[in-house]
Amino acid sequence: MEAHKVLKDAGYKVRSYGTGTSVRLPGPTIDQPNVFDFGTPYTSILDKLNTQDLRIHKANGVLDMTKRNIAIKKAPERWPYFNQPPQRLPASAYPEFENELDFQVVITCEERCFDSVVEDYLGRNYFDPSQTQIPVHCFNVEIRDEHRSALSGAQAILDLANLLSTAYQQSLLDFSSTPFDDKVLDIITEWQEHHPTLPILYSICYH
Amino acid sequence: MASEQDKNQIEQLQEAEKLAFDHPEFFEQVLDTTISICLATPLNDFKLQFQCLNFIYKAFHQKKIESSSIRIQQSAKLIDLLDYFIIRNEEKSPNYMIIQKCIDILTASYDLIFLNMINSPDESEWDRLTNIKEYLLSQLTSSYPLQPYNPESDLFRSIGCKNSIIKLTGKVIQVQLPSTSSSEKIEDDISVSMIGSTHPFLLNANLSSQAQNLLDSLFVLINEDIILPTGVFTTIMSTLMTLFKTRSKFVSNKFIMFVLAYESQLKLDPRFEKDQKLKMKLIKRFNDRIDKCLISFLLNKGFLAKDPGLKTRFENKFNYLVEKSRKQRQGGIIDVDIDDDDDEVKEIKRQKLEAIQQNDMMFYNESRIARSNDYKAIYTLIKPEDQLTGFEMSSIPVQILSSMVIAALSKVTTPKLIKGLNIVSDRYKELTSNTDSAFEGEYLPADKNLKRKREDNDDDDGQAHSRVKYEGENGGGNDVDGINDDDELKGEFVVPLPDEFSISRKKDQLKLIIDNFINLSAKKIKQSKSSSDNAGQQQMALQRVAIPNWDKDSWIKLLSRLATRGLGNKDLSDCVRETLFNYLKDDVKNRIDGVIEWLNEEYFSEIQAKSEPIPSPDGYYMKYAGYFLDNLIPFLESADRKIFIRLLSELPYLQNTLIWKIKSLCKDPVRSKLGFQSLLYLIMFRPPVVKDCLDLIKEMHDDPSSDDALQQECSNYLKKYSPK
Repeated sequence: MEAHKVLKDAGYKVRSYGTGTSVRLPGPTIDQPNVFDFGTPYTSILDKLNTQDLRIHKANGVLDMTKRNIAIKKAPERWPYFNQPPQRLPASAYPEFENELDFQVVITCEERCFDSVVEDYLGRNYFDPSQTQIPVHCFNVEIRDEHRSALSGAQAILDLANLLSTAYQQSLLDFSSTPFDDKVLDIITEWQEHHPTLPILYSICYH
Repeated sequence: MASEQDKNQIEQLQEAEKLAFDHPEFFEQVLDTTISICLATPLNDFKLQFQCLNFIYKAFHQKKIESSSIRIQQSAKLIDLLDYFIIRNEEKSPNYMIIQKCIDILTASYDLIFLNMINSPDESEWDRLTNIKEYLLSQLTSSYPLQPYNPESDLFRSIGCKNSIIKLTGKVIQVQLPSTSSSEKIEDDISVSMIGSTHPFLLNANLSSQAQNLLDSLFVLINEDIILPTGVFTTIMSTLMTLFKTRSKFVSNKFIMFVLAYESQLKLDPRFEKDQKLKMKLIKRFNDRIDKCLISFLLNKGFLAKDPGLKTRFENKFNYLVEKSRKQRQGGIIDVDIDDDDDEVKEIKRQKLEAIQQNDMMFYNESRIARSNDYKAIYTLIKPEDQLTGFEMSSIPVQILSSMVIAALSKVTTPKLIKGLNIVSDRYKELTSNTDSAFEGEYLPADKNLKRKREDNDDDDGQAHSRVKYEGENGGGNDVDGINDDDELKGEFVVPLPDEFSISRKKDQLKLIIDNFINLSAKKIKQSKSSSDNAGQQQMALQRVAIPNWDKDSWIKLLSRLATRGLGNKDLSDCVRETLFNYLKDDVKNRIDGVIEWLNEEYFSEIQAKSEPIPSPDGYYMKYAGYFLDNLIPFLESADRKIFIRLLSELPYLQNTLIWKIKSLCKDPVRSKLGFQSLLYLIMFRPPVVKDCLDLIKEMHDDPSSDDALQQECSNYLKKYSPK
């Protein structure tokens, strides 16, 4: 969500999702996590947290994170897996997107999530062969799930987005320049050199 | 820079696009119009073409026209468009994005056109479609539409178009192999199974055989010894995934075995990319990850459940890839010096490398077409980024240079040398014979030359002239090097007329010319001063020509004449006027000569076609005279009296709207004197405007907002020049 915020503030059209089955946050004890369905408003999540030991939630940053998320979007959403019931906000919440898969780029922050997304796209290729075959560039930027890493990781993601965006705009403005797709691997290499502690993954997927 | 006209056209196309998508009943009409606009647009007007193709792409590829029957019905119309861009204009440097859109459109419409051909056979259209399809499919491993370098490097170039061609290959395989499914929607699974046995030209066996070969070619590509870039690799996997479902009988075994056997470590780096170690390491990591995702998909979705042995092999491979990825991360992603290969891998790679090196005949730039019309482009075989390309060979002494050449010749193998020389030779031939280049032209028959020559002689009053030798009656006596004998027999070589520019390109070019004029004017030009000896001669010249001596402002005369009389096109003239005005207004006081020069030209140009010498109130003279006064008056100071009065005296025409602009000067207490001096000058020396000046003074006099001093001044003038 930190990356969502940073990208949105930079002017990109962004949607964010979880890839698991539910939203899991640290609970009062290590064996009692707080589990919420996707679509549960962040305000309700905050209400639940307020009923628990606030010192713990303040100490582990969950309280601040939830408050931050309220300012970004109404509720957490689940990746629109093929053939599964939607667990996301209504389309009217995102008028700038034409449909649920209207993305040019997907960026995940854990390899597990990257695998889920790529497998979902491969599944679409298999189970829905009549699909339109629109390409989407998928990346994973491996970020440790804690507050400080999230802040620096979000900036690194913004760097990647800016590099891609600049190259893409240039290819649209100057039809004789090097094609965008030919630049992507060089952009990734350049980015990885600048961010050696954030291992990257990449794939083109189709839907 | 898109011109106004182009912008308007693009906006109109966007509106038509919206209409077609909102009301599909208009789609046919909009499609027909869009195709005709696209075909009529000059090849260099990419933006307009791109807009047209984007509409078709959205309709067919993104399926914004949801009705498959409408898309099927209209699909055959696309053949002409695709043929135009891909076949007919193949040699005219196709634009990358235009070609990519065309390939995507063909991918989206190939099955629809195929169905059309089954139901309403049209052999000539099918032949055209087959021609386009086969041409594109043959470019799978090339850098099309970019110019080629060498087979290995070209795998890493033009990735977007390559991916589109892979998707097209997948569609052709799907359509041309028999379907086994019974899909509810016809559109979802069009195939050769639908062809009737009596069809006049679609032969099931031939089409299936071609599809089988295409499928093999995809597997050959992914089994190449050279690592494939991730974009290409994943696109092939995605395509095979679809075929795995729709043409399972033909694909499943090969696909499953490939996924199991794929090992990026065994692949070689392209030989000219060896310096990009991190990039190659990342590509291998990415490709392995896709392989892992495929294995995971096959395991989780139960594809291997029936064969426990195979399932175990997949699980082992999965665990191996997980462990490999973990080790890689531990070692650090960007540390390219860590050797990931074990001894077995090294041995396999060594053998592959040896096999390749035995036949090492590759140059980086193997293009048979020179990239530009110069010798460097003809002879360069190395990488453009290679530092050697910038090295000045002429700085090396001849003896050392000779030794280097001899050493190189003795080292190179004969076949490689021949290959290099052939590439250079082919580039040279292509450049000199290319019909699209500046070398195109024709020889006028000799008798025409003679006729022309005689006419030239008559025109020149028999003056001797030393033009090229074909004109001479002395049989080539002036031919110094003797190389033009053949040309002489052929006649005069005439350079062809260039293609006509579109109006937007004309404006762009004109703007370049004007900007260049303006840049030149900033430079100091040594003014040619006439000596007293030729003063009389110059006086005569002045009566005949506009610019007897070139000075720094001569270009203003040129531009103003170009705007008023030289260009027969309003858009282009306006373009000159606008630039000229912007230049002059930046410093009106110091460029007052130019202002007067130009406005006089405008006035003269406007009144010469009229019966009376009064310019139109909406004409250019009045418009720009008003603009200049508006730009000058607010910045005038008392010291600028001479400049302003000179302007008023030399403007060829004044009337009340122009004179009324002096009002603000008169009402300004600090500059009031300057305003009244100007009016006084006009009253005394320009009788036609005396009444307008007095009217202005009277108005200021009667204006209640005027202060006492102003009213007193007005009153003095009125008493003197309008006592009644």
